[in-house]
Amino acid sequence: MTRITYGPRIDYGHCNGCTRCYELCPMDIFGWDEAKKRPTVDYPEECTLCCVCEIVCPEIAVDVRFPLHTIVDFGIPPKKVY
Amino acid sequence: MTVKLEQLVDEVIETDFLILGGGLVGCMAALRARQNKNIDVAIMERGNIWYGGNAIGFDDHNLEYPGIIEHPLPKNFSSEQASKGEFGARRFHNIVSAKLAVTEGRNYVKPLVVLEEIGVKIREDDGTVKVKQTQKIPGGPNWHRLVPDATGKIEGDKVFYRGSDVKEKLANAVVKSGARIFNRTILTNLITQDGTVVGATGMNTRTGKLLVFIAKAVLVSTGDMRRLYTYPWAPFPNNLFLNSHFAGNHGGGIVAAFKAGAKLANMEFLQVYVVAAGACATSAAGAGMYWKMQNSKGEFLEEKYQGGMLSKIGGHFPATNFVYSPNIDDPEFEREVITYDTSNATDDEVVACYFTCATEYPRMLKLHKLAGGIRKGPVEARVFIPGLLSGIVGVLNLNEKAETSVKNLFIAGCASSSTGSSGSKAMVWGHIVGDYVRDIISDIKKPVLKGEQLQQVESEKKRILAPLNHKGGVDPLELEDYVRSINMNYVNVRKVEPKLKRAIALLQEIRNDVVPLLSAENPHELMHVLEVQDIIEISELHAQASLMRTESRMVPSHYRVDYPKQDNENWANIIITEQKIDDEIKYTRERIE
Repeated sequence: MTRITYGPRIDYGHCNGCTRCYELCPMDIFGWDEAKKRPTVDYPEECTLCCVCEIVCPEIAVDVRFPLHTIVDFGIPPKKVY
Repeated sequence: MTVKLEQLVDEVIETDFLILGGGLVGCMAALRARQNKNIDVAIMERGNIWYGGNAIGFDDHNLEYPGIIEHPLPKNFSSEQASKGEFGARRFHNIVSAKLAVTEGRNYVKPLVVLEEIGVKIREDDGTVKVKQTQKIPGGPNWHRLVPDATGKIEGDKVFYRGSDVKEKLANAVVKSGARIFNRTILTNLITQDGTVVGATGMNTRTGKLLVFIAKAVLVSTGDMRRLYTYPWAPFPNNLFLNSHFAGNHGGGIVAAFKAGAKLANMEFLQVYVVAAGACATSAAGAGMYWKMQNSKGEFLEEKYQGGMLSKIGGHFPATNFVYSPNIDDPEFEREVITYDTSNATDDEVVACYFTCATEYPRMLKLHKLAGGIRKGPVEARVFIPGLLSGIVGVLNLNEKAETSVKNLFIAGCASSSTGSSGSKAMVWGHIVGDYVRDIISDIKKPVLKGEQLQQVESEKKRILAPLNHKGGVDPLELEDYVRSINMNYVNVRKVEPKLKRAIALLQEIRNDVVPLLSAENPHELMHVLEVQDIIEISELHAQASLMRTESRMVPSHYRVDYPKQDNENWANIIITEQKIDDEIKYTRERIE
């Protein structure tokens, strides 16, 4: 499968391992790295881009990247994203 | 050899009231049932009760009852009064019970009271409730304050309140109520005993643990059937999960109820939506709810097609509102590029739009921010099919207590065939069921599973786990994409007999030849295997019912190219779908009150 470019991206420099994104994602696309005590993005292709993970993150460490078709269709300048 | 239940599964949970689905309905029902602390309540939720379900996905946190908002409703509130409003439109189409619509109307303030009790802000700072009258000014928002007249009557269509945190507050209240919550647990089947539901099987989608719930009463509140068509402007696999509603709602509860013997209704009707291009199939705010739509010639559609089945405002009913042309064979949307232009929006309109966005998933505000604000310029609007028609299609709700044709099995919300298509109405039915179950639960005997039920569990376990032993088989998401392509290509808006028959043949072939080859490597993939099997079932029922209804009704919700006229003589009734004991599926027509 082509590499999935959309979905949540976690800034591990800021992530404090609180588990909120992992616990609260409606679609359950996050995994959990037990060794590092940090979330992982296991199923980005199933992301509905709802951005709940962004608003529940206390460290603003999650950024949901929109897919190309959404960016172009919604009139977002691609340069702003890529 | 007798196998004990505890040997078959990982956990057995005995409860009084099992709620399948922790959305608005499930949470409301749990809160009401737990008013009696002696009643044990368990909620099974595929996602998590804080953000699962449709609640946060759209702007639907309103109480709607056109022209008849009163506190309380008058005692002599009748079906004639109901027929004046939105429910009248439904009744006209003869596919939803007016009797149940009245029940809904009578109870519709109750959930609002509960929400206010748990801290949902439903009032403005001055204590009034914000009401929006739909369609008063075509193309523009129309906010005004709720001011009762001397008799206490309030004119208005919808009570809007800030809904972005309603689900979190409900979920927190449910936790506090002491209901037991099983998040990340997908329903796989119901367990029955002599035509009575006695429990359900579920699987934890993270651990793979199999659970058996034994319950006196079960509520199906698993939401609508969303994953039947694809979101046509996104590439696979993104096309599978973008929807105006919660993409986890695949209709699993409806299939389980059907297999348990519950009757389904109206399976032929699909939902047609308008969405803003790129808005991830979001609802009103992205659909141009507050803006005028125009074609490439600059003609405003509601003016061009004035007086027809044309309205851009709504989002709920009828679906025909969303096709901008009086002629289904020549819809404006298909020959044109339709846009709404926000560049001349008034401050009021901007506020209204942001208000609506704020009650949707956070993505809408983020998208607008990235695009430089909502006054950017023309935005393309597109039509798509998010699924079957919510609140019309689903498990047949038999009466005012939301009972189904299976004893002790209740139905509410978008999984129900009778009203309840919006969050507020769904909560009304959750409230009704929660109260009713609380009152009757002590009269129901605690079920005891016997050999037959153990066999049900054993065969269900085999079905659930089989794909784990089938390495390198069919990917469930690839199959789902294929099934949904069949619906897109052979069913869709323009239904015609040969194509419907072809769809049915293909779906049957898939069920027989492909489903046994499905494979999964972990519980998450197993969840998709279970989902796709339900999607295949629903797709076939949808095609069969579409084939049976040889007329067109509520176009484009059900449009038969070969039978383009509405036929009230033969078809002013609903199609009931029922699975008989020997697995034969029976389709009958019934008049509905």
